[in-house]
Amino acid sequence: MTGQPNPILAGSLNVDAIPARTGIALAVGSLGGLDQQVVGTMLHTLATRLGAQFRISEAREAELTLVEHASDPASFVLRVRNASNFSELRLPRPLRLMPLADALNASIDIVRPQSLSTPAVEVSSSSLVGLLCGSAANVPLRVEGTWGACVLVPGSDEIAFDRSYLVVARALAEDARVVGHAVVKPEVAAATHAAARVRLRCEEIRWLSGPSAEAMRAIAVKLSHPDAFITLRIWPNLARLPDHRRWIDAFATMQRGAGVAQIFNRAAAHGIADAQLRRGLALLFEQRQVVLSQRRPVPPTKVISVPPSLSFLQRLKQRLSQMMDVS
Amino acid sequence: MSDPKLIFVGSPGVGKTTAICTISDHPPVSTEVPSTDEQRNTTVALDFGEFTLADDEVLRLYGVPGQERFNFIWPLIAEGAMGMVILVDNSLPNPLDTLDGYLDSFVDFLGKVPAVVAVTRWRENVGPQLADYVEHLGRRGLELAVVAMDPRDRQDVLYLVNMIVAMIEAPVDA
Repeated sequence: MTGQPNPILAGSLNVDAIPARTGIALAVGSLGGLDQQVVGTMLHTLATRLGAQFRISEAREAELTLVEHASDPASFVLRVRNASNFSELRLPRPLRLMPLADALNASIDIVRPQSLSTPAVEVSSSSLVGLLCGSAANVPLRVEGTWGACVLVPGSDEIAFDRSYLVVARALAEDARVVGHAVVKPEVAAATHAAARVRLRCEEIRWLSGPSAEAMRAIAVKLSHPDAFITLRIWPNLARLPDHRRWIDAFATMQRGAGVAQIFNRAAAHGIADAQLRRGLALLFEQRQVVLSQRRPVPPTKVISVPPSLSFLQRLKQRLSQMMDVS
Repeated sequence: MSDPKLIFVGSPGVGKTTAICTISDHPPVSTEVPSTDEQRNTTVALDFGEFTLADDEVLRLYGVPGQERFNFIWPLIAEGAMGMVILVDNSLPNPLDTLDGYLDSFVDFLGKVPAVVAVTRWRENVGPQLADYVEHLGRRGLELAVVAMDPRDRQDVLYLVNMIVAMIEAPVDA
């Protein structure tokens, strides 16, 4: 352990974003006064570089105990209470910051193994979206469900996931309770963020998660009206979702304003099933991005001064599609 | 007939050059130099990029100057365009006022081509919300597409172009 590079010390991590587990006691009561002072100063110095908060205890034994080696006056021994699978760690005298930081970090999961299995949050998938996209989304989470698990790292504009798009989509769409653990291993969070396979904005996360049951009921009532007319007010930006191209034509039709039948026909022509469209409309309605009226407004007239040819548009769409595929 | 073109307009530093650079097949020809009234590089004339299709057809990409002292050139460039993207920096003090300046300048043009108001540096609950843009446009009798995007993100810029194409193809008779 002592020879390993420590990712925390490499400066690649904002440790403030990692929830600290407070107050692991390090007993130094068996050491001499000078050694106790040195250890106390070291803990203070290392505070921002440790994966948990440690405190000095003047007791002779605590969760962690630092003692002089019984037979080697040039060494200390770090012991962990009630740890059958953790051998004593020997630390050379004089104590150095890096070996002590490595030893303390290595001991965290042994001292408090329950903190790894105790869920930091237990939420439904819909409230997970609220958690991710709300102001509380500031800690990396390991989220588990029947689909597996993934680590997600909220950022200022986007949320990074360490799994494929399909896993992320299932995680967000599954109508079941999911369990999220705060990621306590700083190196895991740092590595995940650096090598994220999927990065999504909150708008896209909401799109994957789907609308509330209430919004689904409301849209069903509104769509049942024979004169229902749909106008898109705000375009969703779904640029990072693989199937967004199917939706763009439906959105364009809604942007111009259209009756329900026309929108369903247009969507079907692009492979969007009725159920998918209802789900999408409910979400747009819930996010106030679409307006449903019962009378047809006068559609805006658009006369393109120099319309490009159909063949040009086809080739343009083909090129755009190729570029999206390699992005 | 000249090649179709797509116009990007917006305030200095909003990301017109970046958006064009993101999808242009070659580094855009930019007259982008430090201007006297800005800390950063801004477009003081125009940017020009190309998006080449099969058979060597080209969609020309124009970035139109942000400063009003160049507004005489805007209609000249806009003439014959297939679409327009108005980039608005939502972090500016009065982004809706800024938008008004472009709407005034392109009012005739906006009635004839698909146009998107692309709001950059947008955050939920910070500054005007996207619904505020929609209502602002509505008060002026305009029904333009409004979307939040990042001009640095290639997928976002491609999404914008896809939006323009889809709006051209959308059936007129609803």
